Amino acid sequence: MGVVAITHATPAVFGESRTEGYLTQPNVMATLSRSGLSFAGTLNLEGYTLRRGELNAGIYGEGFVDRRHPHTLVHEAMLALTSPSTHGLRASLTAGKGFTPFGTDDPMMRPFVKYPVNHHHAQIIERVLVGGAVAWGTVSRGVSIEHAVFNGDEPVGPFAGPQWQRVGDSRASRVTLMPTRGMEVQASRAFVRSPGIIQGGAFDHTQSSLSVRIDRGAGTGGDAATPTMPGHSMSDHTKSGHAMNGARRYLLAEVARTDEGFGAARAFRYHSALLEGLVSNRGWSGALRLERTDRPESERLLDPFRLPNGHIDFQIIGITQWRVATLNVAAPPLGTGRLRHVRGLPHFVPYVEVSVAQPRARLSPTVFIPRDFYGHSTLWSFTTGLRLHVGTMRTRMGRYGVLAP
Amino acid sequence: MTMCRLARSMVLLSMFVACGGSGDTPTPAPTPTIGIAASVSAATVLRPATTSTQITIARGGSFTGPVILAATGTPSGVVVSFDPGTLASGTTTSTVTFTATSAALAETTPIVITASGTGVTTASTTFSLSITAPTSTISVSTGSSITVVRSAIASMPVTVNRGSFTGAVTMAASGVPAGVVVSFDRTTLATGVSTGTLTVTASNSAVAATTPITVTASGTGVASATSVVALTVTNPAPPALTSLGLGAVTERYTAEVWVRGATAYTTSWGTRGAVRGNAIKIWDVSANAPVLVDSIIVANAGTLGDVQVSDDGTLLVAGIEPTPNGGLAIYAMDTPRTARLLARTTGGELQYGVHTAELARVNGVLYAFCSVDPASGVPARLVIVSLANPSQPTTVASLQMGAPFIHDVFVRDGLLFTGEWNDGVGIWDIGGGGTGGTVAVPKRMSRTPSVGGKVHNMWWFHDPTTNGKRYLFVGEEGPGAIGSSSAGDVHVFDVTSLTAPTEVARYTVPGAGAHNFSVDEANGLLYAAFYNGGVRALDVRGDLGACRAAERLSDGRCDLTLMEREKGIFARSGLYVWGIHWSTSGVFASDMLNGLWRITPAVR
Repeated sequence: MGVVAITHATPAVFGESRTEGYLTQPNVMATLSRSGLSFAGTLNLEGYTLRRGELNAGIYGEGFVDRRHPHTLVHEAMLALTSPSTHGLRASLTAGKGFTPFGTDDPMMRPFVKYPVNHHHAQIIERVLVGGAVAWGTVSRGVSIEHAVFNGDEPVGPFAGPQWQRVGDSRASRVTLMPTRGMEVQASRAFVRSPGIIQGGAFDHTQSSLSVRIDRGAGTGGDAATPTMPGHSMSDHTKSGHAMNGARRYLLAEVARTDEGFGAARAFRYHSALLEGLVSNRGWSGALRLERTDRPESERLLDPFRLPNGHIDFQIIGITQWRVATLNVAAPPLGTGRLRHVRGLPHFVPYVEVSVAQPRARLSPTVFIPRDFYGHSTLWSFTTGLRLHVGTMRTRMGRYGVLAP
Repeated sequence: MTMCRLARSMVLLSMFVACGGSGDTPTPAPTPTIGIAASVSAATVLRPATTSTQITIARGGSFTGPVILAATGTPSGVVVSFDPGTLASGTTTSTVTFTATSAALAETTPIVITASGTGVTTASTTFSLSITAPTSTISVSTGSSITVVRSAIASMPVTVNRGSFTGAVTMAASGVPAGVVVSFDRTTLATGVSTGTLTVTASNSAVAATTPITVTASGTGVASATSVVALTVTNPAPPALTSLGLGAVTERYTAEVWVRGATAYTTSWGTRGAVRGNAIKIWDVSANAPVLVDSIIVANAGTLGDVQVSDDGTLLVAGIEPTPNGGLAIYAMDTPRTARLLARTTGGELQYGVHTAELARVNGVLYAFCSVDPASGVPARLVIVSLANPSQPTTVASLQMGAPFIHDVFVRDGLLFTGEWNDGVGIWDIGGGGTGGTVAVPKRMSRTPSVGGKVHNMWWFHDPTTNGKRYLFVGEEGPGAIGSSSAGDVHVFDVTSLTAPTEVARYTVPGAGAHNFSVDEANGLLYAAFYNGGVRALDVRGDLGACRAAERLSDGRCDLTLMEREKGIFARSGLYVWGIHWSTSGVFASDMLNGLWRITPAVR
C-alpha cells in the first residue's frame, strides 16, 4: 500500500504557506501462518520517501513537530504462537518488533491520510516486545487481555534499531471487550521509561487509553462482519476506510492521557479526546474527525519542524491544545474496468482531505504562543492524491496471535 | 484398743510440743487485709464533664502485695479511669476520674470501687455519681486558622451562639505555643453579648510553626464549648529588592547575563514569534537603567546559553545549544563593547549542544568547561577546551558525565565541581586537590547525590571574614514550563571534607525553582535566580548546618527560610528570571520575558 499526497498547509509556520508532495505510508505487508505459529511483518519505506517528515500540523514525536516522522523500515516483525481453542478460550505468546498492547488502531489503518495529533498519546509502536494474550469469546462477543514488556526508547530515525538492553523496562496492558457484533471497547495502560532519550534519564510516560469502536458494514459484497474474537476485522476494508463495495458505518471515540514525570511522580499531564466516523456506500466514502489534544512544546532547532529528542533539562516551553476538524472524501476505486473491485489487483482510490486546526496555549504565561509562531490562530491543510493498494492487506495492525485480524 | 492408741498419740503430741517449743504459747499469723476509702464519696457533674477523687487503700495483716483498682456499676455514657490502676507495693493512693460524656443519662448512680489483691479479701467503697443535663447549650465559632508574623499581632472575631443561655460566658484559650499570647477583648461576655475579638500577639521569641489552639467558652450551668484554630507564626517577610531600571527586550527571550565593569552581556534563547535566540546583547549599565548599545548575531544558532567574559577582559565566550550544530562562539573584545569573532565551533563533541560554558583559568591557561547535551545515543559529557589560542580552541579533556545531563560546573582553586543531575555533585581535582589531577586528566574526589537530584549549578563560597570554604551551594532544576512554572531548591553542602560532602540545609520557594547563582562574598549574600519566583537574596555567612529543632526538616537538614536567612526578594508578576549577576557595578537579573533588570542590592 501507499498514498500519494499533495499537501498545502496555510500557514505552516511563521505565517508562511507550504506545499509539498510525498509518497507516504509505503508499506509492504506479509502474513504467514502455519500450525499455530504466525508471522506478521510490515516493511515501511518512509525512510526513503519521507525522510524529513510529512507536513501535519499539530503532530509531534521522535524529534519532529508539525511534521509526522517517518516510520522505521521494520515497522512490524512479530511472531506469535497460538494455542488451539478450548471452550472458546485461546492464548498466544508473541515476540518481535511491533505494536505494544496499548490504545487504538494505528492511524495508518484508519480513514484519514493525515495523522491525528494524539498519535503519541494513543499508540506506542515500533518497540521490541514480548507479550501474551488470552481471549475468550464467540463470533460476536468476547473479551481479551493482553500484556507485554518492551523497550521504552522511541526510534530516533527510520533506520535506527532499538536499544536492546532496554527491552523490558516498559510495559503495557490492554483489555478489550466486544459486547456485540461490530462493537469493541478497550481500556489500556502503559508505563514507558524515558522514551525521549534513548540512553535513559528523560521523563517517563504513564499513559492510559479508553475507546469505543463500532464498525458495521459491508465487505466485498454484503455484510461480511465475521469477527471471531475481539480485535478481529469486520471486513476487508481498504485503507480509505470504505469497503471495496457496499455500505459501511464506522465510529471511533477515544480518550487518552499521558503523564510525564519521574516514575510515578507527575510533572505534566496531556489529555486527548478524539471522535471520528465514516460512512460509505457504492465506493464513495465520507469521514469526519474531531480532535482535541494537548501536546508539550520544546525548543525548536534551526529547522522549525525539529526538536531535540527529549526535553532540554526537564522543562517544556508550553502546552498547546490543538482542536482539529478533518474531513475526508474518497471516490470509488480506479482500476481496470470491471476488475477494479477484485481484491488483490491494483486499486487507486482518489481522495480529498481538508483540516482546520486551532492551536491555543494551555499555560499562561508561556513562551510558546501558537499564534505568534504560526502567524495565525487558524491553520488550514488541504491534501489530495491517490491511495494505492495491491494484493490482500491486513485491515488492522498491531494485533497479534489470538487477536490477529 | 483404739482408745489406747488415741491416748498414746495424745501423750506423744504433748511431749513433742513440750520438747520443740520454748515453753511459750505459739502466735498465729496475722490475717491479710485491704481497706479502701475515697476522699469524696459523692459528686455532681454537668455533662459533659469530669470529676475526680482520691482513693486511699490500706494494707493490713501480712499483705504487702500490689492492689488492683476497678469499678463496677458504671452507668452508660460514663467512663471511669484510675491513675494508677494498679497500686504497687508501698503505694497507697490513686486518682479515680469519672467522665460523663454527652451520652450519659441525667441520674444518680452508685459506683462500686473495688480493691483486690492476691490472697486477700477484696475491699470496696461506693461513690455516688450524680449527672445533670445542661438546661441549655452554647457553641463558639472562630475562623479555622490565623496567621501572625513574629513580633506582630493578628486578630479574628469570635462568636458565641448562646441558644437559650443568658448568663455570662468566659472566654479562654489553651495550647498556645511559647512566645505567643492569645487574648480576648472581652474575657467575659456579659448577658446579651455574643461577639468578641481574639488577638494573637507573637513575640520576637516565637517560633515559626503551626500549632492548634483551643478556644473555650464556658458559663455557669452550661456545658463548655470549644473551637480549634490553627495558629501559624511566620517569620517577618524579607525586605523587597526593587527595580532600579529595565533594559527591555521584547523581540527575543533573554537567557544568561554577565557583567564586567559598566558593560553587561545577555544571551537569548529559543524562538519568540519567528525570531530566534541568536543574539548576544551588549548593554551600558553605567546608569540605573541598562541601555542597549549593540547586538551580536551568532550564525546558525537558535538558542544561546551561557555568556562570560574572561578574567582579563579580552575574550567573550557564548555556548550554543544544538541547532543542530551546537558549540562555542568566541569573540575578541577589542573594547568592552566591540566584539570580533575569533572562532565558531561547529563539529566535534560540542555539536550536540553546549548547555553551559564556564571560563576559568588554571595554572595561567584559560579554559572553557563545556557541559554538552546528550543526543540520541550520545551521552552527555564534560568537554574542557583550552583557549590558550582562542582562534583555535582545543579539546584537552572529554568525560562522559551526568544522568542524563551535566548542566554546569564551578571551578576554583584547582577544584572542579560538576552538576551531574541525578548523579549529584561531583568534585574533581584539576590541580588543587592534591591527588595529582590535572585539567587534562581530572581525578574524581567524590560524587554526592543531593536530595531530589536534578543538580544544575554550584557555587563554592569563600567567606573572606573567616577564610571559611565550608559551603557549596547547589541549584536543583526541577520540572517546569518555561515562562509559567518552575521547581527546585537551593541545597547547601558542607564540603569540609572534599571526599565526603554532606547536605546540611536547603532553601525552597514554594511554586518556584532555582536557577543560576551569584554571590557577593564580601557581604556573605547569595543571589539566586528563581525563574517565576524572581530573585532571592540569602545570608550565607555563619553556620548553616546548625539550627533549632523548629528550623529543621524531618530529614535533618536545616531550612534557611525558617532560619530567617532571606535578606531580600525581587518578585513581581510576569517575571521569569534565568540569570543573576552580582558585581561591584550592581545586581543584574536577566528575565526571559522582559529583558535585563538592575535591582537594589540586599542589605545584611
